[in-house]
Amino acid sequence: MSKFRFAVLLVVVLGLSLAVAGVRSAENSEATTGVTPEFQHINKLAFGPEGVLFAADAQEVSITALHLGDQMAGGVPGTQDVAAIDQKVAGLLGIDAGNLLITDMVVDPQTRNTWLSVMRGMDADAVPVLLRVDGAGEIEVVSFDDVRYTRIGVPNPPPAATPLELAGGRSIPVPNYPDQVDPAGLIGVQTITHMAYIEGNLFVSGLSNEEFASKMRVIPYPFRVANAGTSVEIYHGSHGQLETFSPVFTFVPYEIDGEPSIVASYLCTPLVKFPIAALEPGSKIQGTTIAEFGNRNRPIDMIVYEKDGQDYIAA
Amino acid sequence: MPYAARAAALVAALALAPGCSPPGGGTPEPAPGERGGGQRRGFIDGTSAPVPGGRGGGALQLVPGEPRIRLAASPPGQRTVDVVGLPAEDLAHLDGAALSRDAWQAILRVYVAREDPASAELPAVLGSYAVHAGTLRFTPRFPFAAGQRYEVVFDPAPLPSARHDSAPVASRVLRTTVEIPALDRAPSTRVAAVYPTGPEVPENHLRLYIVFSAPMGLGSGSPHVRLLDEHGQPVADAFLPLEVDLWNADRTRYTVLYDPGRVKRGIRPNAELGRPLAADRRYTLVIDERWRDAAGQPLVAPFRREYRVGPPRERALDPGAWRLDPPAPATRDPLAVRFPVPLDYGLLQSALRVATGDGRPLAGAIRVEEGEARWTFTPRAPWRPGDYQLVAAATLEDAAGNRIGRPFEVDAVDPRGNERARGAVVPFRISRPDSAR
Repeated sequence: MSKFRFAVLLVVVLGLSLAVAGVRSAENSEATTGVTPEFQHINKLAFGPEGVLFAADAQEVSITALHLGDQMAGGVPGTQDVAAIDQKVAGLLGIDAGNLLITDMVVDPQTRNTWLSVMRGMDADAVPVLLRVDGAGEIEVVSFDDVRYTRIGVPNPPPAATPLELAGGRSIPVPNYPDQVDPAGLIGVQTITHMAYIEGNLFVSGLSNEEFASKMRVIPYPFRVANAGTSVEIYHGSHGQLETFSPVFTFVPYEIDGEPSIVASYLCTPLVKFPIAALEPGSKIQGTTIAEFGNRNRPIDMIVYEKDGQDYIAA
Repeated sequence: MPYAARAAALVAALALAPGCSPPGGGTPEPAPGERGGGQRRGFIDGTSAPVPGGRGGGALQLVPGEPRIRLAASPPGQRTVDVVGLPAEDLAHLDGAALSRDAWQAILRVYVAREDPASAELPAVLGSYAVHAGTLRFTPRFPFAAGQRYEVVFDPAPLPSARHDSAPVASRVLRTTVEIPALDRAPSTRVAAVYPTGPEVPENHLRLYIVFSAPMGLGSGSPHVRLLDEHGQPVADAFLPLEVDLWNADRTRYTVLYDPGRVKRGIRPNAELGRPLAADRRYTLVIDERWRDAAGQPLVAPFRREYRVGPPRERALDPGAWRLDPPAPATRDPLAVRFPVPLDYGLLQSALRVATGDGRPLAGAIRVEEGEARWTFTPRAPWRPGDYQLVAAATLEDAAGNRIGRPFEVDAVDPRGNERARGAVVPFRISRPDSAR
């Protein structure tokens, strides 16, 4: 058969979530509640309101709000420098430190205790463990037994069929091909790189294992339905000349001139700011560069602190 | 009265206790549930050695009736550290005692064995204590790890019998090392493919995919992937050392990102170091075999792939330049689509679909071929004559991140280029066999 070359119809993809996620549209993902949560992985943590700790499961791509009750306190308030903490945590858990993966560390704003998420083991039998380090340096494993939780799936990986919306309001429900391979393994998974709770919303940054575009999600808490959250495109403009998608790797909420803002570190190293109010459905955000770091200076986390009446960001 | 004599009757009873190995150093059965099928039997059973100066002379000499530490496989699948041979009054004291963790650990402590004695002192392994069938039993909160050695210390000083034991305190402390056997496995996972598969990549190449034949472990991939220049020297800082690794759901496909701060123009790392790849040069990707799979085993072999580097690709994708080769009706022959430049392997799996002319999606299988410059779709049902469309999502990219209607780097001053990426629909027709050409 001879080769054909056809006219091409370009269509503008409607809808912000589609503009960011392409065919991987958000599908209604209802929050689930229960007690004694189970995790495959825990990779990121963030404190929420009233003693809630958010824990992200990178494997399942879900976020769980843990109501830890008495386990939030109980130890000596404050935090303490614990030397060789990887070895000590590994020792408590009965493994060599080489088989321990510390995935995140956050400080409880109430007790100032330090919380760690770790993976005990590197193989298929690895177990996620949550630990609290108190002001005396005591390390406690946090039990999930009888802990109340609310969990929501981040709308990645995709559902079995995903709509591609076209101009004029038409929509094509595109199936993932079940006879090829497992759709979950076929299509890119988003990894959560950072979370922060800001006044009723959980802000989530993530990286795709396929497309380069940035994803910043805003999910209202208490969790109800995942696609009630929005996701927006984040760009970087270098010297006003070249504009690129720029994944946010980590970020911290910070008020700038009375305006609630986010200070974010891009994967490609610049440190930028943008107002939280700009994170609206349909918006396209280009962060304002605050600082440019040189090579190998990409922050992996950021902390705002005050010293001598002056605010600092430790990156 | 000597400790051993008081405990003799109890030891005889222990020989029949479920889950306890017979006294005298029998080898417990390995716990069920271990994979691999070929694990070594006869692990070090943890028979305790008196400390220097203790009774019994030889370090490993066993004295029937003496308290001993042993590793047990009880209940099935759960390894425990047991102290057998304790006097009845000590067991009665401990049975049901509401002791604090510190108080239990003062009697029986299990540590991860330190390879370097000068390293920091480790806390005792977390677990629960109970008296079970005449045995003081420590059950770790998390199962003992295969291949791991543990130090065990039993100190009876806080126990009632110690009050009428005339032996020096130090001589009553038992110390031993137990080891969980490593699972006897051989490396079986290999690098199945690396994408791009073509010989040339653009200078502004953004990412690679490494596909493994089996799921990989949780250890970071960053230390195991290197880029060598034409002289075999490592290219420093070519890839982004991420704290989060980018895997597919079953951990068989790993995404490697070149440092985007070096690939993108006008950013400080790019200004300082330039792009990791330079046009007209050759590079070799090296994946070392020490990368461990989900069974904890290294790869069967290292992997090398040489690439030639071409000029940067800086233009938006143009679906108008794709060549479609529609198949004959009533067959399940594949629809073939050829692209002028290779597209991203991962996104070709998810961002291209085939639908009928009125938008109903077709089920079928896709293949990515010829260095990711050719995509085929084989429908599950034979083609019927009529109108169809190839649907491309806005997420589709080439190896340099260029999308439909939007290059990776957009000239922000020129409004023509500053658009959102778009999806595209490419119509095609399956003609009737008898239709005029």
